[in-house]
Amino acid sequence: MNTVKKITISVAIILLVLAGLSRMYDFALRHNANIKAAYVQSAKIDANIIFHGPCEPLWMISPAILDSQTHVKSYNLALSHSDFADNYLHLYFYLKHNKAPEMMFLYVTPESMDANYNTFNTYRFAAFVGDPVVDSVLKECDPDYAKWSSFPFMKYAWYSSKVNFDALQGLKHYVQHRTIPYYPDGYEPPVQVVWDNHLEKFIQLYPDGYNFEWNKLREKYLCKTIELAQQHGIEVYLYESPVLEEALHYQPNREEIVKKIKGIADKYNILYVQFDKMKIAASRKYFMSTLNLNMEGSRIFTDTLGKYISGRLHYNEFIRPHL
Amino acid sequence: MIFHSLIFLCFVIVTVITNYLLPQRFRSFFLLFCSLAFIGYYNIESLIAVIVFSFFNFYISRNIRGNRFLYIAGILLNAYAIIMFNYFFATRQGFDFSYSAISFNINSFIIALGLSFYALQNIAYLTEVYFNRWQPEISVKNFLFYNSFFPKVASGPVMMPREFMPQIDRNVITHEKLAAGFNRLLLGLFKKMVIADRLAPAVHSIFDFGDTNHGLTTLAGAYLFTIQLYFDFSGYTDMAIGIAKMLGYDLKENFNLPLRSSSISEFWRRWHISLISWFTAYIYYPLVYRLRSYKKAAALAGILATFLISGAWHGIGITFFLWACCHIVYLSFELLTKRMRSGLPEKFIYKLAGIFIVFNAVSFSNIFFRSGSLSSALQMVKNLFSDFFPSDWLRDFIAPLAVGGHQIDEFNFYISMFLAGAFLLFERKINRIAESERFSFYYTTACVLLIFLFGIFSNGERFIYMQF
Repeated sequence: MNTVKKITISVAIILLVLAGLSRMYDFALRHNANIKAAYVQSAKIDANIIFHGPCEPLWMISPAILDSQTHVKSYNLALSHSDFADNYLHLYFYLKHNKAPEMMFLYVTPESMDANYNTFNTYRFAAFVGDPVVDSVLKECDPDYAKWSSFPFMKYAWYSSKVNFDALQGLKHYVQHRTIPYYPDGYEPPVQVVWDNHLEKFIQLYPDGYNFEWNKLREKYLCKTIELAQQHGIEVYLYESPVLEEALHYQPNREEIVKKIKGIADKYNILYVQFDKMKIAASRKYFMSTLNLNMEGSRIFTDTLGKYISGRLHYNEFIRPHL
Repeated sequence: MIFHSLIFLCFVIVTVITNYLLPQRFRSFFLLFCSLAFIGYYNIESLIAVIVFSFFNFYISRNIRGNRFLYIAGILLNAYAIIMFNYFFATRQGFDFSYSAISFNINSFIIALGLSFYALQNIAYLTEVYFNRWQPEISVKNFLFYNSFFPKVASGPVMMPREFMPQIDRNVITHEKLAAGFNRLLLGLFKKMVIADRLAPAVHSIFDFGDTNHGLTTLAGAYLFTIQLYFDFSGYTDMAIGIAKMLGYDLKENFNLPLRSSSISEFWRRWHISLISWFTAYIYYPLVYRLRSYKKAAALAGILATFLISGAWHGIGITFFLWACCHIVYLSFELLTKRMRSGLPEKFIYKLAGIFIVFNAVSFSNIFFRSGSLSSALQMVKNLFSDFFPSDWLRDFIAPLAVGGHQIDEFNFYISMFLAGAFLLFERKINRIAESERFSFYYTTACVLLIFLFGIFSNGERFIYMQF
C-alpha cells in the first residue's frame, strides 16, 4: 500500500471513529442521570418551586426540608460554579420538558455580577450542541469552543477531562436502567464542612478590600433568565443568603452593586429578598466560607426561607386574589 | 500562538504546504517571513527584540576578528539581554533575591519570546567567529533566520552555528522527512497534551497549595513535576524537531531517555542536551582547560561555574541557586567517588538502584526549581521529612494529587498516571516509531485518537521552558 493510500485510509478511519465516538458520547451523556441538564430533560419533575444559581443554593437549600414546611414540591436546579448563562440554559432545559413552576428563587449577590466569581461551564452543554439556544449562548460565552465544536468529536475533546467520566457513568446508567440521580431533588450536601480559610487568603491578597466589577454579560444573562421565567408565568424572586459580616469590611462597593441588582429587580417588577443580615451572619460558626453556610447554618437559613416561602404562598393563595 | 493550539497547527499546515510547493531559492525568505509573523503574533516587543538583537550581533560579527573589545562587548550585550529580559521585565519585580523568577502562571508575561535561547546562540556564534572557527555570515537575512526560525525560537534547541547555518539555503524536503517530521510532531503533541498538561493540576495542587501535605504526598508531587517537566519540554522539542523536519531542517536532539539515567552525569548527558552542550563548550571546557594543572579541582570548579551560570540562566531567584547547588553537590559527589563506584559489578539491580536514586535526587532538586518562593520550597522540604505516611490515604494522599475528592478528579488522576506510566515503560519503542521516516498507520491513528480522547485542548498550559 503506498503512503498516500495509507494516509487517506488513516484520515478516513480517524474521522469515522471520531464521529462514532461523538455519537456514543451524545448518547451516554444524555443517559447520565447525574447530569442535571440531561436529567431535567428526561424526567418529569414538575416542581412548584425551583431554586437556582451557583453552589450557594446547591449546598444550602434542601427541598426535602423545605417541602415539609411549605407542603409544595420544590427542586434545586442550582449547579456549582455556575454563572447566569449557565443558569439560563439549565432553566431553558427544565422548561422544555417540565411544567413551569409557580416560583423561582434565583440567587443573586454582588459576587454573581463579577466575572471573577463562578463561570460558564461549557462542558455541561457539550451533549446539547446543535440546539439553537445552546449554540447562541456558547457563541457568546465560549467563542473558541463554539468555533471548533463542529469538528468531529471536538465538542467533547475540548473538555475531555470533564466529560470522559460522565460519559462512562452515562453508559453505566443506561446499562443499569438507572433514571434517578444520586441527588434526586437536586440538593447536594457540601463536601467541605469546615472553615476553608479563603477569607484569610482573600484579605492577604486584598488588604485594602476588593471592589466588585459589574460584568455586562452577567447582567445580560441575569435579565434573560428572568425574562425566560416570566415568559412562562413564573414568579421570580431574586435572593441573597446570609453573608459573613466580617467579610463585608473588605468589600467597599458591595452596597453600590446591591443597589444595581435592586434596579434590575425593579425593572422586572420582582422582589430582591435579602437574608444577608440574618443573626447567624455575625458568627463564623455557621459558615464554611464567606458565602457558604455550613450544615447548621444551612438548617437555620432553610428554616427562615421556608417560612418566607410559606408566607408568600399564603399571600398568593389567599390575599392577592382579593387585592 | 502556543505550539499546541489549534491556530498554531493551522499555521504549521499552511506553512509546510506552501514551503513544500515553493522553489528552494524562495523558501528561506518565506520561512523568515513566517517566523517573524509568528513572533510578532506573540507580541510586538518580541519581534522588535529579535530584529534588533540580530542586527547588533550581525554587525559585531562582521567586525569582530582581532577585536577583543568588540568580542567582549558582544558577549556582555547578550548576557545583559538575558538578565534584563528574563528577570527584570518578565517578572516585573525589583532585584529581589527572595523572589523566584519562575511563576508557572499561564498569564505570566514574557516580553521577548525566546530571547535567552537566541542570546546563547549569538554568544556561541560570536565566539566561533572571534576564534576563527566559523566564517562570519554575509547575509543579514540568514543571520536573522538563524535567530528567529519559528520552530526553535521559543525554547530551543540551542543550535550552534555549524549545526544550523549551512542548512539555511540548502534545505531539502523529501517524503521521508515529511513523514518523520509528522511522526515527531504527533509525539510532541501527545506528550504535551495527553501527559504533561494532565499532570499539571496535580503538580499545581501540591506545589502551590500543599503547605500541610504529608511527606509521601509531597514526594509524589515532586516526582510528578519531574515527569511533567520532562514531557512538557521534550514534547515541545519533539514538535520543534518535527515541524523543522517538515520544513526541511534538522534540529538537534534535546533528550535521550533521561529518566532512565543511572547517574547524575549520565542524566545531564541526556537532559536538555543542547543547553548542556553549550555550557560544556563555552563554560566548562575552557575553565577546566585553564585550570588543568589542578586536576580534579579543575573539574569541580568547572561543575561549580557551569551550574551556577545555568541556575542564573533559568532565573536569578534564590530557588534556582539552590537547584543549581543540588546538582553541584550531586556531580561533585559522583566525581569524587568515581573510582570507588567503578568497582561495582555491571548488574541490572545496580542499574535499577541507580535509576531510582537519580530520579529521587533530580525530583528533590526540582522542588526548588518549581517552588514559587524560598519559603514554600523549604516548607515542602520540611514536609518531606516529617509525618511521612498519611493516616487517611484517600483524604491526605489521593485527594490532594487528584485536585479534589470527587470521583471525576480521581478518575482523571488515575488515567493520567496510567498514561504517563505506560508511556515511560514503552518509551524506547514509541520513540523508535516516532523517529521512523515512514508513515505509520497504527501509530498515527492511535496518537490522534488518544489526543482527542484524553488531550487537554481548552486551557492547555504554556510550555514551562517558554519563560526562561
